[in-house]
Amino acid sequence: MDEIREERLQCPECGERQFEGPATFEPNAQLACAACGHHFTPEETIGPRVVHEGLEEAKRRADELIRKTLPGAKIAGVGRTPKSTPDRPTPHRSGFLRVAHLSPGQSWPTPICNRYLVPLAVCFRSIFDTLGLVRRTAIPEATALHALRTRCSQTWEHIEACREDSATERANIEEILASKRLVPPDTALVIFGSLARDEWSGGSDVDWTLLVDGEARQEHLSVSQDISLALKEAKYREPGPGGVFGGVCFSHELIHQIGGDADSNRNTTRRILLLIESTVVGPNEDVRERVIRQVLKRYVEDDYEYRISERKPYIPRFFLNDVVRYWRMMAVDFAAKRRDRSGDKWAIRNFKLRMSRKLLFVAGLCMALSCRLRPSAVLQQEFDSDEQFCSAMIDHLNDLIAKTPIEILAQLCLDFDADEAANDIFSSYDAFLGVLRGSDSRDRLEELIQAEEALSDPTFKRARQIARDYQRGLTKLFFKTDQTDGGLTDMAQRYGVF
Amino acid sequence: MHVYGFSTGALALGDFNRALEMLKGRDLKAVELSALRDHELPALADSADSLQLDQFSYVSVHAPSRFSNLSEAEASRYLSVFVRKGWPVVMHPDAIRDPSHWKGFGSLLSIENMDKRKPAGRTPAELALWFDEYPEASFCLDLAHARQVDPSMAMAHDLITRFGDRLRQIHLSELDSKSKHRPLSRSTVLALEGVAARLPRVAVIIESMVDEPELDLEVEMARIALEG
Repeated sequence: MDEIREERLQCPECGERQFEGPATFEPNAQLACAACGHHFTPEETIGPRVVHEGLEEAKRRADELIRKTLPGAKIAGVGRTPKSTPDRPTPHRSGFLRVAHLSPGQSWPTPICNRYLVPLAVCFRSIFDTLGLVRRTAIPEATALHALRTRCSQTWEHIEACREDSATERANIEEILASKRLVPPDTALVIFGSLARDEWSGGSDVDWTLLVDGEARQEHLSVSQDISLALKEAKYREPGPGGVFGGVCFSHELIHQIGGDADSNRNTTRRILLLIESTVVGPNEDVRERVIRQVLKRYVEDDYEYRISERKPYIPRFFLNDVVRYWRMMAVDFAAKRRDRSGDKWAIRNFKLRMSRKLLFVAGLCMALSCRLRPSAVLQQEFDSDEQFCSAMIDHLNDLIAKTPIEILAQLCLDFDADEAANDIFSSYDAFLGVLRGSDSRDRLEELIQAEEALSDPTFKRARQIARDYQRGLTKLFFKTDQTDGGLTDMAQRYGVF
Repeated sequence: MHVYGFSTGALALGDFNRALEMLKGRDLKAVELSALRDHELPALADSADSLQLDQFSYVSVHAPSRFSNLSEAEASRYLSVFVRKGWPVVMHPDAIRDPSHWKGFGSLLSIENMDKRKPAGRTPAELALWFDEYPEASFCLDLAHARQVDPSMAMAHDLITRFGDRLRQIHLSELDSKSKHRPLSRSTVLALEGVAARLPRVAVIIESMVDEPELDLEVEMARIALEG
């Protein structure tokens, strides 16, 4: 640890001192100042004093892990993900890795690659955590959205502000958890909703669950109650009254109960949101990823009939159908809640259904379509075995899961040069977040109960217009951007509609 | 009040000097010098007289968990260096192949209850066989192991009932499902409610693998777990 000095990165614009070690830190990530938003150049962030010294420590830790777990492996320096060959399937992660050449007789089965090729970002993260360096967090630039912003000559300031606020709030919750050691081993505090989507607005509640992927222990319930209390004391709004969030959730149900009578509304909600809008706050990030990969494995492996003739990138039907089902379920539940709760918060739920809830469906649809329309390089290879192909499909989907729904949608817009549609989509989404961030407008929407009253209310009228603009943008993107045979429209009609 | 301290192995694996450096100046009165891997034992034995241990009122040594580089007889000879200094030697019962090597350690032989991966020494009944073999031996209660074998903690209560009068030290940490020693969490605090009050005041050795910045919080968590 001596090699790392507690240097802070100083913003050349505003002078704010900070360290570039957020939870999602990547050595090559573009970073922005947490205070003024200045975008650091690589020279400003990857300075010899900070990252190079950290890099040596990260390498050392990676080497230690490799030596411990793969005795005899020859460590060969920092490199990119090894190329896949028939006898050496590609590991699931991309990006910088500490590469080890294995001894004769050792092989590269996927689980070994997952476990032993240590992404340097993970090492960096543990170092930063260890040194307690992360206070004000410089925020990695959301690349696809940033690129779109430039192309559309827009600022989308509310989206940006929500992203920064989300990072700050997550860091705050992490500190609360750490100070009381509230997260036991084999569990993780998984956050959903706006805080996970980088869309935190002042009035958001915190949707969380203590995800258990290990031995069931009677203390888990008490721990979850302690977490609830700690968040309440910190003035965070509690999750909604449905009981989906704010307690303990076991991996077993998420993995095994997909479809059928046992797959309750609650279980479906948790599973789909885990895939589309979740993140871990606090320790044991691996718990979430473990569960996600198991769920993805279920989706992909149970799609057997779609890859029986050839192992080519395909639309994962099981996954897509689950996403579609969830979207329709949300819409049906919207009507049920309106009835059950006598219209309480009807207007704001309507607005959210048409905007952020719809975004979840769209992101899920993008993920499914991307397997066919924009498969990763790995997914386009020839595969010798079904296991390798499934593994590549899981990797592809898992890489997308690491992004927020907005980023997934932004990437699709970029992929299809859909600037006009993107402008409609993200400008309206920015306006949506603007309404939620404004306490007056949000309060007004929360007060509205009767549809008749809402329809003549200026705030609700504005909200409806925003939702219409958003829908117009989505229609443009999916149905007017690429109308070639087998293109985006073709795929959206075939798989999104019929 | 218990006396608290760390296992050097939890802090720095075989680098006991580095671990002692981390503990220096902190309000900790106990330490367990770890030679969990037998190749670490000769160096530790050689350093026994020169180690700076003034701040500690309780010092123990953790014997290797198995003998591969050293024979059991050689290990026993190295460990007798510590016995002569009056330091208890914590022993995993499943590591013992020839009981005669450890007879002379008397009450300074401290038998530890094992985790669920081990074939012996996990339950009161299994431990009783070892205390029959070594009637004078003391007991090292590993609360994480006891909790792993029986999460209801009924077995921990049973261990205290049966071997509480032999108890010389406690091992404290939290185990994950892979039996790795992890930092203490609120879950341990809750699990030890009821058990903690029955423990005699002895040395508590923290075995959680923690980095230096987490060290003070780990001690605080241990105190909360055992003393509220």
